[in-house]
Amino acid sequence: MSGGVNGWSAGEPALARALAELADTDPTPFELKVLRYVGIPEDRYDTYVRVEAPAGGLYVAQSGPLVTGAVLAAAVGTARDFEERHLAVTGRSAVPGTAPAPGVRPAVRTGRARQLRIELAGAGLTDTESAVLGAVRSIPHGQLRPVSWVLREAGLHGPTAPTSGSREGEPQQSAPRSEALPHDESSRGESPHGDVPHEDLPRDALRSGAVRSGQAQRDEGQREERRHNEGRRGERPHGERPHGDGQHGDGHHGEPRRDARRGDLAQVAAALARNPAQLLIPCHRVTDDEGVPYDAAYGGAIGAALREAEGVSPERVRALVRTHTAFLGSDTTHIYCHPLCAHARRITPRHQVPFRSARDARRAGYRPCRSCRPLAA
Amino acid sequence: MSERLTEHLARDLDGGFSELVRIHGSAVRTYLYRVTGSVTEADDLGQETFLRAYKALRDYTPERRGELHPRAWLLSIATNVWRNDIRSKVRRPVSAASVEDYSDRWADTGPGPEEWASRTAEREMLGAALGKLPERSRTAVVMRHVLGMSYAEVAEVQGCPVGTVKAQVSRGLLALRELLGPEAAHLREVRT
Repeated sequence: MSGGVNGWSAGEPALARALAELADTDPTPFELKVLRYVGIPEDRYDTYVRVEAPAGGLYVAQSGPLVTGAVLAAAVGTARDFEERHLAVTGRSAVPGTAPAPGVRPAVRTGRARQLRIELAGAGLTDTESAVLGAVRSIPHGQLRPVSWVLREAGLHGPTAPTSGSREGEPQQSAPRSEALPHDESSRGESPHGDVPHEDLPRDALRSGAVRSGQAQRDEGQREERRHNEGRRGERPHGERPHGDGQHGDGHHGEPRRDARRGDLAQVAAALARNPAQLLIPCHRVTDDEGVPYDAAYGGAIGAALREAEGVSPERVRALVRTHTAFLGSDTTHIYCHPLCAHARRITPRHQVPFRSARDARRAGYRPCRSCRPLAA
Repeated sequence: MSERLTEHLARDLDGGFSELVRIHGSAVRTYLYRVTGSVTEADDLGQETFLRAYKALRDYTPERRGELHPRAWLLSIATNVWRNDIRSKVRRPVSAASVEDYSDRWADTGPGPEEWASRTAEREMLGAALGKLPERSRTAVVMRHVLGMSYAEVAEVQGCPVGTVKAQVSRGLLALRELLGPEAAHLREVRT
């Protein structure tokens, strides 16, 4: 560093020459100039730039205003490697461009990429993988979600869901990504914790829930969840079953259910590993059901750096795993959340009630948060 | 990889051409920069080169596109574009005048220039000296030693036997050593 500064004074002509060279720098890369000069239509190739992200560079390819791919430099190596990979994944040539698509820089800077227009049609994903990645996009900045949550939000969860394939053709999952992806915040309760009391259930009833019969509890839990689902219907594609149905399977169809679940998990893992827009689709916010991050595409160190940049320290993640804190409840509101939900973070330590599972929370008379939606686990 | 490229070209002209530009753009530009000695000229001639290439490809049958050796083919077009340019403008290579200038300044910088600075100066001297070589030697040396092409590939571009290319390259390196003089003694180990 000091060498560089001193070097300038020692080599005056070198400085003059270096300054003169700056004039040669044309902001438009040669390849792009050629393609424009020859008149190749712009939709026949992608351009890409490298933007600086929390875990090093991020190569972002785009076609017009749409992001067509993003790979962390730490995961791919040189720009040339990125070009090859982009060609292999999308079948499109990517040449160096001048500026990223609108919204990319702010999205990378703030970690909030939910509104970014990402076009994944060329990435050759299955409908299931697209649905999974769409669900991952809705995980808020600075929060983590377990894989079961992703499955449910992607509409893949349930005892009757076959392990693979046959649901893929259903219309709700083949909706165009660009429409399915942006999340409408306003359709969810404005203040999930404040204004949604257990209107028909006096607090005493909730408190005494622990002594009621198991069946009664289960019924109540389902009622609760259905109500929850009714409220969210508008966001969901038509024709989808309420998720509450999935709860009936507990304990009754053990084997097929477990098989189906294993298949679902494998699909999620595959989708996360194939994430065609790393960082912009926040796969680093997905954990397994024990709370351990997946980090399939780029390894734990990069994943940890990405999470740290959002205020989720590795120590915090480890502590949650160690204490089996799948959910965090508040004993003043009797609502339980994913532990990094913005609402959960506001619970003061003496009112925090950790839960290992949603069923534990339900048994204790807690209802799920309507913001982070920890319905099942 | 280049096989995939020619297949792509045969199947889909615009898409394959984008890929051609992506893969070989920098080689064409580097080549033209080192033979002309000017970045802006390299950019202009490079664009012209690819425009000609595109027009030619448009008239080729898919079979012919599939059989191309893209880099050698592009560089022979680039060489022609460059020669035509010289002929039409009767222009001296831009860098010809600058060898003495730079070596003077280089001496001025004294004993303690930064390593990068001396390397930059060295590159410029070398680039300028390249501009003084006769055309054939210059193109051969640039292709063989700047772009790292094989003698066979260079021969394909030059349209002459491999032995001739080897002679051109070795004569070119000899002339470069002469031009660079004693200051660049450590460059003498450049192998042919």
